Amino acid sequence: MKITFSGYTHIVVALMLLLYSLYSRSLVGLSIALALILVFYYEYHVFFQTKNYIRNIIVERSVDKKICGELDKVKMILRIKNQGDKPIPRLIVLDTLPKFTSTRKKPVFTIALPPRCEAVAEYFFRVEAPGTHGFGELYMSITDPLGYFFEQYSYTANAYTVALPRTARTRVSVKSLQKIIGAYIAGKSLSGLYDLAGYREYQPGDDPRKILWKEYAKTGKLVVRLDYGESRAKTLLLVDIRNYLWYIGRSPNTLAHAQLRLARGILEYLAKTGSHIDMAVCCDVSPKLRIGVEKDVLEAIYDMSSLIKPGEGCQSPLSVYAEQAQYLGIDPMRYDLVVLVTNPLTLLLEGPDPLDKLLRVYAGKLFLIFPDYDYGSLIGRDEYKALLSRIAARIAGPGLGLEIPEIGVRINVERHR
Amino acid sequence: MNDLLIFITMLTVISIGIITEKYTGATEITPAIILGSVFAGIYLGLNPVYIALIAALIPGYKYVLLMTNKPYRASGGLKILWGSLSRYSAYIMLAIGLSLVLAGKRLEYIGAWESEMLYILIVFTALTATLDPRLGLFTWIGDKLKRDLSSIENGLIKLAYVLGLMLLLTTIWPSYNSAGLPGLLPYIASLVLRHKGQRVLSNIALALSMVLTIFFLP
Repeated sequence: MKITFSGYTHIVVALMLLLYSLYSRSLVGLSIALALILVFYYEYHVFFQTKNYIRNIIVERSVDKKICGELDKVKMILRIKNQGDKPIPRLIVLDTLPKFTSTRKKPVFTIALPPRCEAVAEYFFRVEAPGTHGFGELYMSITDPLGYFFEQYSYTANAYTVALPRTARTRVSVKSLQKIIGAYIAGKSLSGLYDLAGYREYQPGDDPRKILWKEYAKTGKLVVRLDYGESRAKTLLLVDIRNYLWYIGRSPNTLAHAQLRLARGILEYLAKTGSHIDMAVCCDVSPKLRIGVEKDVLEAIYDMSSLIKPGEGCQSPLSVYAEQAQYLGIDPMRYDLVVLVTNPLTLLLEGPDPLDKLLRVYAGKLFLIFPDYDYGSLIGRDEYKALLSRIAARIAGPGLGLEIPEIGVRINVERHR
Repeated sequence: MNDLLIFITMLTVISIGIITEKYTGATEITPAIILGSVFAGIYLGLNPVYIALIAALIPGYKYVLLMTNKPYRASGGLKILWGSLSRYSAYIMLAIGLSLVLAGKRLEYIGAWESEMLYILIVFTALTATLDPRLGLFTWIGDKLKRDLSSIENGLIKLAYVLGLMLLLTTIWPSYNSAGLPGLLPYIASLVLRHKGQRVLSNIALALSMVLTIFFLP
């Protein structure tokens, strides 16, 4: 049991008034002083009784959107039930928000709970990062009606929402990737020209003979035909997220945000090109692999997001992506292209060894993609240029290259109003 | 400086504190101002009635703030608060009765037999409040004796009321002064309300009767 400042003031003032009224022989003062002391006693009595009823209170938590977009507003619903036969005169419920969620006002609710009644408390929170946002602990303070005494209890009621990253604007092309997919992969036709399987948009490097000129005349879009038996690019997308990336820059434009938006953009882009895509995401110790994610891109994005916990990241070195393929018995050479979404800072901090290992395992297939971020201001412009040169030189021979696509990974946010 | 002026200044500052507390949720502001005001009031030798009124603001403003809290009202808090108000009023009556007993000497200055009557009346009415089953006195005694004392309790409450009314009527007629008159109407209202089963309102009316009677005491 704890006493609040109001309770302390009440009893001090009452006692002072009692003495002063006796000293000044004031009947009104004495009456009010005694009344205040009795009210204080009553509050204590009520609090002492009700604090034993806390076990009768249960809280159920739910959200109106289990899946939402990054920066969406989600409604949290708390159902607070009094299952006992005694009333709870005053209950203060304080919800705790996980990292990367925010509310306009602190989620604190003062309610009363008559016997066998339920109170519903609702508030909106904004999801400021992609990933799984789990809500659990909340605090309940049971007090007397005037709030002079209180006892705090913690309570666990679980609910979660998965926020999908925003799509990076891919209108500005990922030039190198387009070239690789178009020239090196889609060009590997194994079948004849006349077994039509489908269409897709033209990519630079595609065989011009496959362009459907009639379609171009009708719609103005360059479309190429896909033939049966034509090999589809087998791509492995590696999404690397480190815990410190969440603290570089300001939410919702931290480096982790940018990297995840880029990953989504690349995934959507690869799916659009008709590639076969496997995806590996590392968020704790080992990467989780998803096979054939091109069939349902949205589900793949959901899968990726559900694995990510905002504020947390991969605890293993980058080379874990190479080891994983070995452990799972996957032949790294089955892939035509291995895209690693990472950033120069991670490579700088990890040193050259993990990258070298990746380059050895995915020999001639590894392609690095970094989000367009202001790295220069973080490590110094000259340092950054030198770092990029070193990475480019290292990957030039055994890898396919690196790219910092001019994709809009930053978003402007209106603060809560 | 004039006592009333100091009192009004203090009230103004406290009001600003209450408004600030309402909109910022900083619960320490108003109690701190009240505590400071009481200290200052005693230091300046302010009339104890003013200090008492300022002191009474602590539970008063808390109560009003809670009553105006929408989620609290929506979750059924008003009924609970209403019940508390009944208790508070009963306690105020009890306090007045007790203070009269404690400050019995004060009555020597009144001297007249009507004043003795008033004294008895007030103590008796305080007793009525104490007998209120909501205060739990009789329930507690009943529990200890393992007897149902509700019929005795009800009988005593009725008796207290009738005696109180008789005393009040005696006080105002054929009296030299009409000290009992302001308290009479709320007292009768309290009686009627209790008869109708409105115990909460009855207790509030009774408290008002007590306060007015004390206030107009010669």
